[in-house]
Amino acid sequence: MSGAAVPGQRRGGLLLALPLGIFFAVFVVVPLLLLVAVSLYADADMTRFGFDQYLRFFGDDFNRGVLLQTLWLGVKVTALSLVLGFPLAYAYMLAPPRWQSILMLLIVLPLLTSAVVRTFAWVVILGRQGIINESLLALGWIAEPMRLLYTPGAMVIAVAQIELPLMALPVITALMNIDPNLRQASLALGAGHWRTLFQVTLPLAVPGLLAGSLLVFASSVSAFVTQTLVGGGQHMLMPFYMYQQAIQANNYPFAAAIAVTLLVAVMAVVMLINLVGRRAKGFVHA
Amino acid sequence: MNPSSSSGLPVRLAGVQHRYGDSVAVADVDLLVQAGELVALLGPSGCGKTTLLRIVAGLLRQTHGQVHIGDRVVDDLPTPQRGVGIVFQNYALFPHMDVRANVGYGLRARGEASDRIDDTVDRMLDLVQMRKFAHRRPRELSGGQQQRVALARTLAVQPRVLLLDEPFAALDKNLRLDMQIEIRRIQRELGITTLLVTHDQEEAMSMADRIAVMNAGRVEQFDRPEAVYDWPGTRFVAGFIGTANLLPGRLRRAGTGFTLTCDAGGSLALAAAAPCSRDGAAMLSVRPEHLAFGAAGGSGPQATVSMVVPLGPQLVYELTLADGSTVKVTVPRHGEDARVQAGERVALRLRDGAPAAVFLPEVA
Amino acid sequence: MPEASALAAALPAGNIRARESVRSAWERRSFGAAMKLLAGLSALLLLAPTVVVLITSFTSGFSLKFPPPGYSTRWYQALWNDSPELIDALLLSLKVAAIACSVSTVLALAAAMALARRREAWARAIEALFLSPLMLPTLALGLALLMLFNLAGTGLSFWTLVAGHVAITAPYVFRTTAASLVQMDPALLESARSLGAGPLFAFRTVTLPLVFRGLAAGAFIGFMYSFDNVAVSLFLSDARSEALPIRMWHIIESNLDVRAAALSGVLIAGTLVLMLVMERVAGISRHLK
Repeated sequence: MSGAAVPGQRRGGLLLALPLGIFFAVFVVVPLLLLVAVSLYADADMTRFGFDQYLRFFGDDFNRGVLLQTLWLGVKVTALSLVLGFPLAYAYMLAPPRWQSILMLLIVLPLLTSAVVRTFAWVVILGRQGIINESLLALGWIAEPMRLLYTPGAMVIAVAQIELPLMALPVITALMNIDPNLRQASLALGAGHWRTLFQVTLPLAVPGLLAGSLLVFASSVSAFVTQTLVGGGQHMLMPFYMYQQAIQANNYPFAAAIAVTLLVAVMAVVMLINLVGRRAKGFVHA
Repeated sequence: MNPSSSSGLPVRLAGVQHRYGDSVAVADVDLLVQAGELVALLGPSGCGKTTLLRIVAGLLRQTHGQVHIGDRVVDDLPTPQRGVGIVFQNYALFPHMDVRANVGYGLRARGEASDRIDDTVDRMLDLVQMRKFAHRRPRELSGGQQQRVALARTLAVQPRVLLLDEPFAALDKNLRLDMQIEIRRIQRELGITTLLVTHDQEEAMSMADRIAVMNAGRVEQFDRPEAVYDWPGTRFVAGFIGTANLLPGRLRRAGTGFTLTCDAGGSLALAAAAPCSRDGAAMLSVRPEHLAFGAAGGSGPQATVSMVVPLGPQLVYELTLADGSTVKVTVPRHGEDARVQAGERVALRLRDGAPAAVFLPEVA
Repeated sequence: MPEASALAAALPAGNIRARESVRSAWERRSFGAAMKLLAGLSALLLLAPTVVVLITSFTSGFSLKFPPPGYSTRWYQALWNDSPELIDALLLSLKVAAIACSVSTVLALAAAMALARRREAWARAIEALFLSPLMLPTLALGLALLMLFNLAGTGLSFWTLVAGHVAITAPYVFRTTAASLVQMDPALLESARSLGAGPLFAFRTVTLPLVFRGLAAGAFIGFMYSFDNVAVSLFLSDARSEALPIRMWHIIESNLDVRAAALSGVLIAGTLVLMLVMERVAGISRHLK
């Protein structure tokens, strides 16, 4: 039962992976295959097979729009979280240990709290009687409360804030792994702080930035609660569409098709980012 | 690169101190490094030598004192403006750039024209003999090669002061010697003032014009290598550099010289006594190769040979004195001294003209 | 040192204090300012929503108006006294998380031990499978499981919910445990075996203590993740037994119920306490990276 990997030796050890393997086979692989199978039913009553669901999905402007809007949200959120997450990680890297503990607390706590709680906070902030509207009213900048909830801009900011820890952590890891002498060497050679940032620090932090982007993209695209509470019914996105078709409209084949499309789209982006990452990794190791 | 156009500047440390909270890393250092000189900062780990180097570099701001480079006080200047070049212990080459890009980095940062950059990079690479590797990446290079690239990168921006932080620590022994000679040659050719931090005394002795021996944040002695070796200024220096035999006794002026009456019996005649030359209790520090012995009897301390060990070109004798303390004497193996066996009785004496240092006795 | 002053006299007397160039100082300061501003903004963005919710939970009014008209603990009392459905959901979520987490821990520990240090391609592939829920939309998995259970005729129940949660918590435990195993010096087990320790004994006395922290960290993260989960619970909760996040979503969506603020306050406080404890015990922040 030792963990040492001696080739050819541990037949018995491999058996240990069997329970989880069986569990995953039954509760992950089979359901996903089932999902694909169900999506191949041509009608909602599940009587005959066909690609109708997919044709319906991709043939319709509205449906294609839903997919694109969802992916576009992912892109916007990823971009915003990069802009916000990098300085945060950079500040962590340079901070004294006491501040580092506080920052880490600040970053990890949201990850352990439910998306519902975090989204609710945004509902409170953005609501008609929320802090933004109340402050603007008090300052006299607006005459009546603005509608902030259910706007695409608010949704991007809310989702970005919620996913921010997912970006910050990998970037922190990457930054902490960079030899501190490199920054000092760059400064000593006469490069200013900005040049050092763009020519030395950022390129070497790329693996972390990519890992963070991957996590944020996948997570923001599936952020059901935030999309529905902050985005509202105005803009239909894939997660809610899936839910609506399955639970409310009881159209399992179509819902399955939406789910499979979402899965494939996310997987494609993940693989793309991994590909870029592999090329970038070539530079990083000294 | 013309030697004259990049001749170095003198560096002066005036009353430099650095504390971390309650602990003192550097305690009141006064040092003057001449233009074009190579000074080694030598000492055990934790003695403050790297801290001092970083202070000169501007990577660290000292808590007291001033750093002068040339005729200017540079404490308010950030590193890039001080005209110093640093080579770090682990070379700190940018892993995502090739050799050319690394070497040209400082020039690009200063906004030089690209053809001038190419010229300078070529010359630098030729200087360190790395032209063939121009397009390799750091991870494809060996330790010695990386070091040469790091040096080329630093020299490309024509610093007036070169700072080397244990540059040879990561190299194996044979390579180390070659690199030491190499760097010395380049340094001399360019006339660039250099500060070298090391814990390896042989390295310091062979490379430096002068050595600053440091201990616990202080400079114990700052002198030419031979002087540091033959006339250690403090007991620490005597013990740190080479091996030293310590013989307690009483010092007395005798004519133009001195006599040390050893506690272990017998007496030794000294031509000079430094740093301590007053009559009274004292400690003599003498190198194994500066002692000799003759037939038993006579005025010198009596000893018994306890062990004889051939070591390369030398014979190392360990002798026991009358009070039980031991003394090491080394003798060339093929010299004219007669070979002595273990168990024989002999009398110690100082070789003619050999230096020996005299210190105050240990305070119990 | 006598030397220094003698030579100093030979130098041109220079005590000109060199000043940093304007460009350099400006560059340095602008960089510092920009970074601090952005970092501060980020930190504020991370912190503000939590603070706002906590303050709102103590409102004496009936709406989510901020700043609150007055302060009281009425909503916490309402939560405690008048919200059986929320309390039920809370207990359900706790039970599911506890059971799912325990099962996951056992399964994932075994699997990590079997796979962590192997280099073969198929081992990597199986590892990727076990870690896949971390990266892919688990919403799709939730829907897929719903279909599975309907098709298999079992319908939805407490145990189907647990099954779904095991699938999504196991990856967390697997990841941190595998990382700990990889860091463990293989020579330790080899020494134990050569000293005569049997496999079970070696496991209990050498392996387990060394991976304990990683295991505990993964289990904790898995527990919280299960407790907080929406994606799977969304499809696998039935009307009678809804997981807490789902029920909470409903009350917010339908009528902006202020009890949600009090509930949030309780959950945040609870998470904070647990997190601080676990940080002490197992250093979880390391494992999240």
